Amino acid sequence: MGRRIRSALLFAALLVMGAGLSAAGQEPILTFSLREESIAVAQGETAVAILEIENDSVYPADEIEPTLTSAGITLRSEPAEIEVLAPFASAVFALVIAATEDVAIGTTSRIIEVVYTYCIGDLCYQIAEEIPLAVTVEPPPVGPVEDPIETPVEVPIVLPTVSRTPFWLRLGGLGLGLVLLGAAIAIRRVTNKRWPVFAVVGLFAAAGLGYGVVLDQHEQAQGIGAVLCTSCVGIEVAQHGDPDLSPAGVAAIEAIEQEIELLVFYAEWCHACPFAERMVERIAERNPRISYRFVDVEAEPELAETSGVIRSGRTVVPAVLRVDTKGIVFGAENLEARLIELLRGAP
Amino acid sequence: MKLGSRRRIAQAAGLLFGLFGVTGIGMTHLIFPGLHCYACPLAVTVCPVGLIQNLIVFGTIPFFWIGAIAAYGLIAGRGFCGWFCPFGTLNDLLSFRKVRIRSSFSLSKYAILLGTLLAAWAFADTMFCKVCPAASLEASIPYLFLGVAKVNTPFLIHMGTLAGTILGMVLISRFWCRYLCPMGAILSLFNRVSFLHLRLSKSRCIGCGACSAECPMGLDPHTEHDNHNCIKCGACVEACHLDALSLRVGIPRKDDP
Repeated sequence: MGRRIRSALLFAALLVMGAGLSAAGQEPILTFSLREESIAVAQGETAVAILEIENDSVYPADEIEPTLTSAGITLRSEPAEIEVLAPFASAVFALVIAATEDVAIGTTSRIIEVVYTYCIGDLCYQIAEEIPLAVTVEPPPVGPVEDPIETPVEVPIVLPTVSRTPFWLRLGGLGLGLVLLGAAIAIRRVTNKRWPVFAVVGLFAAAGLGYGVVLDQHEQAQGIGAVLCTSCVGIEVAQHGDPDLSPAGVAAIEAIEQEIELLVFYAEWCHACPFAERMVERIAERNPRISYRFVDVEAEPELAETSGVIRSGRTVVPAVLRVDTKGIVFGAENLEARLIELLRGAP
Repeated sequence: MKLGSRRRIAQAAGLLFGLFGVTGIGMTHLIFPGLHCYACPLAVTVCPVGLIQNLIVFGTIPFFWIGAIAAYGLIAGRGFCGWFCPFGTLNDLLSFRKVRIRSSFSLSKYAILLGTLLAAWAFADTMFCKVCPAASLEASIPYLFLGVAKVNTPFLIHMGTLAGTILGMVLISRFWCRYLCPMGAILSLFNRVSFLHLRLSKSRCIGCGACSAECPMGLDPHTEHDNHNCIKCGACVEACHLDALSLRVGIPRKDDP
């Protein structure tokens, strides 16, 4: 009975992991909003629409690019592309909408397509979002007025999800290994020979370690072990959302008169880091004398090392370093009060 | 040298290996073959339970992890619990009673393993680490003295789970290893497929039960020597005056029962 229950639990665990792997990703992680849902542009002229983007996820979004393919209307964005939008970060595109001189006058719905990618572990997804924009084409300041002609709405383009790595091949390899294991167990049951099971487990060990090293998963493991995320092991409660500064905090921040530079150390996978990053951004918004820079501890380990964001060999994130005093605040709990205390400290 | 002495030396090596960070070599690429918090300031290896939770959160197919676990399983299975794991050593040091409880309760560790994997997936976070007594001992307490941790709710939760686990260890021999350890659950899946194994010579065994009296896992080695819970510590081997039980390295022979 015990053996059956264990087998059932093992298969349930494998099913859960499989379901988790297949369910993860493929969902949009960015939200888009146009400040104005409609825009007026004269024939042969341009107008600007502002597109706001928010990343609501823990994953960075890459290569965000808005496009508009529509008869008589062209789009140029400023910037042309955002290379990386960090977790919980926001950004703005200025969309320069240009109407050709011969485009029909009238209001039509155009579709702005924003394409971006994001990766969860080894899997990457390409997402295409469509944002409707009502464009009213007006006659030029001087010139004849033509009858408006309805332009058909653009057919949405749906791009397939893509993976940079052959995901199903990998999963298939794992499945083949499990089939081999099942066969070896069957041989053991029928013939009482044990070596096939040992051979298959040995194959799992060698293939797993070898392929894992090829995929740099040993580096990933080392990276996870080397950096201490304060909320991950339960040293503090993970803080989420957008922090609000208290009125007393705002007054204290605005009263600071010296130039202060802060370094915010983070890791991409750290749950508490986005909150700390936002908090520092909010503080810097309140006082132009306070500047900051985000430092990815995995990309710049030497800086983390020399800055002292290390406790007994372990890099601790999130951490905010005041450059002149070398004062450090670790974690994100009760962060506003602790950062104000850090900022008030004498240089 | 007696088997028990050899085991103490191996356990001391496991403890030293776990705390090897005192040399300043920093984190390596190795996965630890037991329960050992990688957040420990002196850790040089990655905790397998913490790592698999992170990999589930990231959606990574954990080839490296599977390879390392299969290798450890193949070498010794739960032998690592009995011979190497520092948390297992702590269990041994605190074991004063060998209470026998229904062995079916030991299935609870599989439920904890499943819950650990499910929670990591459902909450996209390392939920088990937040209650893990190894993290309480090796991360919460040291970081309190290093000025990173504070006495807050997560800290008190850690202290609660640590106190409960230590009380369990004192009252029931190998309490954590038997009923709660998710790493023990993973390794026990390999217990019948490991080179280190317990061998029973049926012709010598008279069923006196001397081995059962000494087994820290509450097993009856003379009837269940290849049990998934056996940590291959060798206490039964030393207890048997008729040499019916022995610890061997190699593929178990097919004539072994």
